Amino acid sequence: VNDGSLPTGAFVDPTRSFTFQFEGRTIPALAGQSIGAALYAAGQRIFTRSFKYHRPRGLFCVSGDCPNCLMNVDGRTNVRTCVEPARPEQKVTHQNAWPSLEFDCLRLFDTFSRHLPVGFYYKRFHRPRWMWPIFEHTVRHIAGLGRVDIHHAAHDQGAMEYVHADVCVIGGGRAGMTEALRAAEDGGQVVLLERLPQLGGRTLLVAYAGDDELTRKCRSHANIRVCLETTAFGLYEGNLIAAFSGNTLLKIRAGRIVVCTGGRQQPFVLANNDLPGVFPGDGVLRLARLYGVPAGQRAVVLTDSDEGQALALQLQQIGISVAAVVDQRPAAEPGHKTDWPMYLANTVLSATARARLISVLIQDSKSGQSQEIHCDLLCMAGRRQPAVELLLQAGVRFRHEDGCWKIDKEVPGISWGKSPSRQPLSLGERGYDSLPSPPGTGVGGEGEATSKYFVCLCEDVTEKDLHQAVAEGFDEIETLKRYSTANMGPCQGKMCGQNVVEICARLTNRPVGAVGTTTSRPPVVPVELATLAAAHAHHPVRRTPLHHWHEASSAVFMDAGLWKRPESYCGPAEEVRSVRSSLGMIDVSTLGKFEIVGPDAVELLERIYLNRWSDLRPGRARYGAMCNEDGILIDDGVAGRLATDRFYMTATTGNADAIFQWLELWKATWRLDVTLIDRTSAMAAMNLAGPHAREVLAALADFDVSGKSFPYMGFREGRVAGVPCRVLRIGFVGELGYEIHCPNACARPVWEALMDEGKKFAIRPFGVEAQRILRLEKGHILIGQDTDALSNPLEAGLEWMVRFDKAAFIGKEPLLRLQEMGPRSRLVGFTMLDDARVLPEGSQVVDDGRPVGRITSTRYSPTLGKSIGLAWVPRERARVGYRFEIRWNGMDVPATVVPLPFYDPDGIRLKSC
Amino acid sequence: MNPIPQAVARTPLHEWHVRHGVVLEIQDGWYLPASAGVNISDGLILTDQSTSAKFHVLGKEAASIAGELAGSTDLRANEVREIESAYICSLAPDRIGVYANSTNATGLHNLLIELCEKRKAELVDMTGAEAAFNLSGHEVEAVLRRLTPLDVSPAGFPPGTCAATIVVGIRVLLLRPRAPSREAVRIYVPWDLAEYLWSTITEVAGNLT
Repeated sequence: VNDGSLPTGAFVDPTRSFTFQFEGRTIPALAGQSIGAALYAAGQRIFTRSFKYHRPRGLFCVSGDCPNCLMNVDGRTNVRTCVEPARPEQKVTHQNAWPSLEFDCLRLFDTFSRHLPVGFYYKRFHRPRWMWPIFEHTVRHIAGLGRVDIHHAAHDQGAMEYVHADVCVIGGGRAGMTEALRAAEDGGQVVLLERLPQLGGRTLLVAYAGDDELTRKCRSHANIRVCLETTAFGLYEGNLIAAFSGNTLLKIRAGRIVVCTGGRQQPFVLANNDLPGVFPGDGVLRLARLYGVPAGQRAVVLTDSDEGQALALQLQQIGISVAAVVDQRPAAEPGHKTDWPMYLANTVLSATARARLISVLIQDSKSGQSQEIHCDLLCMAGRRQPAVELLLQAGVRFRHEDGCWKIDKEVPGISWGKSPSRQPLSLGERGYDSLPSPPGTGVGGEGEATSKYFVCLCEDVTEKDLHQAVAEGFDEIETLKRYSTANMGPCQGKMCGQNVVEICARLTNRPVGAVGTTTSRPPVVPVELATLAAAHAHHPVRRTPLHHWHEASSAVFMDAGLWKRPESYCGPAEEVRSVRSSLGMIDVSTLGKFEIVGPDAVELLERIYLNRWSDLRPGRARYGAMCNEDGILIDDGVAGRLATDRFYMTATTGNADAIFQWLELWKATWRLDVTLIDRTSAMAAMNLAGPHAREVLAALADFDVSGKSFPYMGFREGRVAGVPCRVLRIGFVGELGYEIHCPNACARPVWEALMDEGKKFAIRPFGVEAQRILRLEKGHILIGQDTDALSNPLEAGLEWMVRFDKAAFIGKEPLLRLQEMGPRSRLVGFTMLDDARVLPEGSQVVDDGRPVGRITSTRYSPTLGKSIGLAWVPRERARVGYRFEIRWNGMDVPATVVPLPFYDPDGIRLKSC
Repeated sequence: MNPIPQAVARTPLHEWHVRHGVVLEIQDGWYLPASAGVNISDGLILTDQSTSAKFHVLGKEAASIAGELAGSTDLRANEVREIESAYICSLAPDRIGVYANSTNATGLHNLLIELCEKRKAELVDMTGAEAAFNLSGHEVEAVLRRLTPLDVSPAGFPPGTCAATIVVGIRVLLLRPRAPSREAVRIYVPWDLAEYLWSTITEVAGNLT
């Protein structure tokens, strides 16, 4: 516990204290402290259990990189408690251990680790075969980190922000601040991202003295937006940076990106290097300088560079006594008189712990003599490796030269920080080859039975595992990574990447440069899925102008693309009966609605549609279908002629946008003098259908709607309920019907006027489900429902429409070839022999037990009192009376082909005068 | 036949206004909110201006019609010119938008009819096809940054320009007038998506910290 000799911590406010709960204990904390720091101050040393062997793990990096502090916080799993701020009343629990962190039954795996070699899941549990499902279930249950509680209430929804800047600097250390200031003073708009709560980077660890001049300048510069507690996790094409701040996802576009992410001390590989009490030097400094918590009392420093002496000095300053500095180099000058013993050309062989670290064993590499030093901290001051993950993602490449990684390929728009005091981006190489390997590092070596030399803490990969993987042939860095899973854990190689490369190089007798590095992919730090989902939090909804009327009328809505459409109001059967016997009305505002204007308007329709349009007179409408270049049906609809050079055309709801683009494409391709106007969002439409439709319309229209002057497939412009409308007399549902198109803004008054007028005929609104039954009774196909990506008009029952005598239309050639060959299958109507049974759409049509087709639409017809449908069957079987079976749920259910349409075959009702 | 009462047009936000207690009054055949706008957050006012007249001029001569309306020179891409009672925007080489500030724009409409007839261009009344919002206040950029990938800073989207862009997944036209200040943006959105966009802006603005 901080006894007062330490600074309070750069992030800590000592005046505000509170408590939180950890495993039933009340833990005191200061505002600004991380959960991990508060727990450590309260005496907690084991924070989690390791992934594979369930070994005790304690705080390590204190930077959110390693997996040693993952816990469950308020229901969120895998929270990095070393950096997660403590908050009052939090509930923190352990994970990956049972029953407790201190005593974990699955530690058994550590004892029997001999039977769990690298890639054991590829080799074990496959025999006997019948046992595999049991093994799989067990392995799946045990594996993984943390448990997601799917019943847990969702956390705050993430937010999303787009940021644009001339320059984005990633990293708020001295180098980052210098770059940001330089760009800002050149007049650029700068965004500076820093993942900690304060600017300063490593300077905060050396001697925290509050804001310095550089920090103040950055914070006050008008051109710099400082984003604290913001972590960049991906760098993508087009200078796009993905970052998060809390649960807000940031997408940052910058003209130039400067990566100043500093470096990390690479850990040493030694026996039991994963025990609580073993830290990288920076971890100890972070705990003390940022959070005001000393990591221990007596430390041994292990180093292979001048960092060791500097660290020892720092430790002394924060009140930790230095038991020894163990330097792997054969000779090194401390530069000044030291207060601690120096062991040159020595290395630490192993660490020993009970509840806490108690000693380390060091060995002289020349004499081979070893000795034990008592301590409660082992601080590893390895050579610093720059954090280059983001640069690698951007496409920057490195080559290994003179013992360092150096920039080999630059990327325009991407640069890196050049702190004046240090060499940037030279990945140092630890002198593995110059030192004797510690005993037990080889496969099956001495000491391996009781001690492990961890390379990858995330995945519990030991040096022995890498030896074995290379021996099995996985000697390329990418295959070694995949087979051993080193670099594949939560830290994504930040802690172990360089060690794996160097070990691979040593084992394969290649230079480090020839081994190369693994691929860096986003995210470089774990990101909560809720944060990523913020980018897709908005789901557009299209509402017709009558939406709220439907809502007030208790409509049950269904999704039709982005549209919300009423599926039904009072039940589809009732709605069908209303249309057939009296009157109904449906909102069809979702239809695509286009105007085609210009001298070549008719020519465009002639080429787009299968049928003829040049003979359509103004005031008349026609049904048409269209194909793509392969002769496949893509859409259908009705178009009416307003004038010689003006048509009004409809398309199906789902295809409206695509068909408008289709028209634009062919207009441009054929260079037609046509203007296309999309009126889908401008016009509402409603279909008034039923035997009394004419009487209702007549009461509200200012034009003659008698059968003689407004016959079937007529098209009129006039006022309905005082609103200028376009009215098509069509009959998709098979009754006398009018499709009334009016401006959106006046749709509600028109609809309400029609509903009021229709009251005397007990008018009912009907929904999409009733419409589907009605159209099926009439035998009208739905393109996309009854057709698929192989359906053509000659087989779908639309051969009457195809005018091969036209000069050209899209799909003519393939349809001509198909006509010569003859159709292979046909879309036919059928009824079930058991009248009431409705089988699922898509069920197979079988003949002699073999599938020969499928059913596309099925419904129970309230009008006919039986189940009806459409099905694709082979041409030779497409004859009335042919019996076939439909396979459903393991049974073959009999049906028979019947003539279409099922209802009003002569169209008497439809064409009623 | 009984005389049919004149239908009163409604904006796509009509129901939203009613549900939120906004007083509506009838003006020029429309139900209009009586108040100037809705305060959706500190420093942000959202106003439903869907009733304002909107026209598109289509065809090869669209640009020259824009030039004739706005002055002697043709409009540059994405440029907005302000004439007495409307904004003129170049939307594409063969399409301009003319967005009036008021519901009643008979004079402007007649002028456009005349110009289009003379130059054989197609005039489309977009008043009922697009809703229009005005978002104003000092948090305009902050809220837009949460809605659109467009650079909405004065450098990326300066006053006197427009941008056809994506806002919360839908295609809209953003228009930043020169006056009265850079802290106002007009949003033109397809009618059927207007309520969704309005609600989303309101929600996002409410969550601004």
